[in-house]
Amino acid sequence: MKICPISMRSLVFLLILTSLSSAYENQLFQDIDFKYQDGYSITDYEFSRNPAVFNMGVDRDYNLYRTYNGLLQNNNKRLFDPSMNRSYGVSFFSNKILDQKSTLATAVVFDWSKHYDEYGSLEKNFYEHYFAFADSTTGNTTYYGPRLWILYNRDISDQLVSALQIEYGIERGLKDVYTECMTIFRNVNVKLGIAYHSRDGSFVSGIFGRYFDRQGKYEAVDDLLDAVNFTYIGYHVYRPENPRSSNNKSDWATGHEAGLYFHKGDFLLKGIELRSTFLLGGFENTIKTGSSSQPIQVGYWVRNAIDLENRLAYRIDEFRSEIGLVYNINSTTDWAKHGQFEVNLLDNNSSSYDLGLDLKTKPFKMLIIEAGYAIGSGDVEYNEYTGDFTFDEKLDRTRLYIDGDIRLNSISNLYLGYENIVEEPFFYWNTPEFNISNVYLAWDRLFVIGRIGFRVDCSVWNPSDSGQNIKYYGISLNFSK
Amino acid sequence: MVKNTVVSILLTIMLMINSSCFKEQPNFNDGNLDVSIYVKIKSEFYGINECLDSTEVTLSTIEYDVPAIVATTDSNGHVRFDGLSWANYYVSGLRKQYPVPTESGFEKAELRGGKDVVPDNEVYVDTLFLTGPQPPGIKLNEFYTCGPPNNFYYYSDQYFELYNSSNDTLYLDGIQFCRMGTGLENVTYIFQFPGEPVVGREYPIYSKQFVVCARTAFNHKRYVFNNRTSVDLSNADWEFYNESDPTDYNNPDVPNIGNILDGHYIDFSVNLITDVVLIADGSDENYLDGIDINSVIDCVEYSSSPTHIKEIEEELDYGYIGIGMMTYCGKSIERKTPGFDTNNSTIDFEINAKPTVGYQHGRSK
Repeated sequence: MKICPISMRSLVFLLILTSLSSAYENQLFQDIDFKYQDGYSITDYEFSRNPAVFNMGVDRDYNLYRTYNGLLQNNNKRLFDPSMNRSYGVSFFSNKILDQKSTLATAVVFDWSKHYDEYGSLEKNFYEHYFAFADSTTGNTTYYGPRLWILYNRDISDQLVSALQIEYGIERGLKDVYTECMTIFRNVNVKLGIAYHSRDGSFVSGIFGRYFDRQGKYEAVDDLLDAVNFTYIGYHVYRPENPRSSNNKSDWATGHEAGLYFHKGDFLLKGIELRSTFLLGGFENTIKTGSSSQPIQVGYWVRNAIDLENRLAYRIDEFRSEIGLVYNINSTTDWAKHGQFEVNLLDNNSSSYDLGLDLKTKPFKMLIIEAGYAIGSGDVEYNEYTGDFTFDEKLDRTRLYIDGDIRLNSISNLYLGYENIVEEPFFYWNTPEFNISNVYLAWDRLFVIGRIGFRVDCSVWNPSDSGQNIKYYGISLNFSK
Repeated sequence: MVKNTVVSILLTIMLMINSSCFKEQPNFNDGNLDVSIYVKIKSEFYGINECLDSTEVTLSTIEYDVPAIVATTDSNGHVRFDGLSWANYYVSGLRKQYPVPTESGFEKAELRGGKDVVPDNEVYVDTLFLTGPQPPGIKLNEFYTCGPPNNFYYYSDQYFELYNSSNDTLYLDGIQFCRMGTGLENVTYIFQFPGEPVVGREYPIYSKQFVVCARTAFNHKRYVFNNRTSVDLSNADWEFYNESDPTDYNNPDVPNIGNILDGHYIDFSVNLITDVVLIADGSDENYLDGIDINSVIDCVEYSSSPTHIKEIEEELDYGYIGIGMMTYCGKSIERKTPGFDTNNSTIDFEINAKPTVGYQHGRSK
């Protein structure tokens, strides 16, 4: 492959600046993270999300074991946020090249997280759901569950590749005080992809289709009084659920997504590379509440989204550098209707663009530096017709980052990074602007048994109008062979 | 050329894959509902059919945390509520100082009424009929059914309180106490006071007197809950008792209301939060085909569910009370004032924070 890989930092940057678009991803789990070391360049698979190009970025068998621990201290909490969140996880990933034509990758992940001192919310993230379930108590909620991921990739011919990717996950949650709400989520995520690549590898194009199904069940109970619950319609009006021995909510989302990927090396001129990903998708979500035997449909929510991500890179070999231009466009449309009447309860029309410039250079043999700057802007028009609320704003954001990958010697590496993001958030953050700083330090070393590494992360979110901030500390340990 | 063709084909396939199959978005936004209400006096009740002006009309919903809206009718008895959120509402009306015909002429009285509003169009138009007070007499004044706070499903402390709102002494002889199913023809349990119905004069209920009918005339508060909760029914006036139930406690100091339904082997009890309770004068001896509507003295339907479908005929109770009641919450349902009766439980009753055995809430024992 003669295509220059873009950096992991650029991907993160893309994801952060296009956060509006990422919401139509499967709401339970993110993509399985199986990068076995920091600084490892992003692959076609990660840029395109197309399983058919998976084996174009992975050229050997390897196993990766990882454990992580994260702590979020939320001193700037919104009403339904936890004041602290502690999370743990272990994962195992294995990639096996079965033969010249096929690859099999599998992953098993088990996540555990606990929300402390969380008022009301019976959702894992109250603010991501237009029909959030709540009660009236403050308590701690634990979420845990496994995820399974499998990807089978097979060459149909020497230029045509196909793949099937299946994810399945279950997550359970339990609140430790009245209403002792128990949640169960089951997720299925199936992707089928096909890709064409030229013999010299300078051209890749592929398409994938994705179907996902997410079924959530909530059961709030009490052994003394009836359970008292509320279902929010948007963020300003709630529906008081009738007290009963157990109050239930079911949340069934099904969706589909299609993606087109285009990757051209030596585009127009030698050294210029173009990558484009076009994603088109949507989901429908039916929300019912009440008793388990006679539930009432309270809402029906549809989201459609279009996402276009482009990166144009120019590689200057004599300076051992690469300059990249990133441009993303996103459009997301939501509407939700009443479960009983044919009227819209709310809608949300958001569009955004992001433009960025990045530089990756290798000034010394032992050092790689990456830096980038991006600006973004979004137009958000959010209306709650029932709550009589409108948010019609233009939200700007900028991002600056710098990373250093230092090869300490032939068997160990050190990674350092800093980024600063200034963004105007959605109205429910109740602040005009966030200033976010992230730093990380990572190290890995090759031992006889394999490569062992660790990574430490620290993030601080400072709202512009408050001295209270949000802090995150994370540490992870990796072992790969 | 080949590469462009590949991209074009893939793009076409992708758009075909993604052709949307979701439901269609409605054409209207919430907040455009208009409710138009014409308020009239119940014609068959007073023999007149008149629009009611200066009537206070309240529109409320329990589907959202929004306050009730109050408006007053114009000279045509009309009131309009604009720009509402789509939901099921309850509209109630109150007309004060309205001269209603009586045997002795006209008397000024309060007219009340209420009904559900289930919109089916952007403009909902309906007529609300108000009625005056029902004639005084023996009324179901309070009932405590939900059980005290406990975690062992204890609700044996249920009781029902009767009240004589008339100025005369009335008699309980032969009065039937029923738990109803759906409609008057479905009697679930039927117990009866001793004595001869209608004409009996052995068991008086004096004017403005409260009479407590306990499921089990026992000090539940002391002996079950160590004085922490529940009620003391050891001094109840009457106790339901089923001779066919060997486990049914019978307080020898309290007279019994006995079961008269063959094949019924348990004590009188009702559902904690959803049921219909009825008292009849006992003149309809053949209760197996239901209760004769003309023999009914009072009837109350209660349910905790806002989506409850009425079970008893509207002639006996236009509404129902109890929305929001929880099982084992220790609350009772009681008339707003003793004897206050417009034949609509939604209007006549309210939920009490705690039961008031033998007296009215807000008043001393």
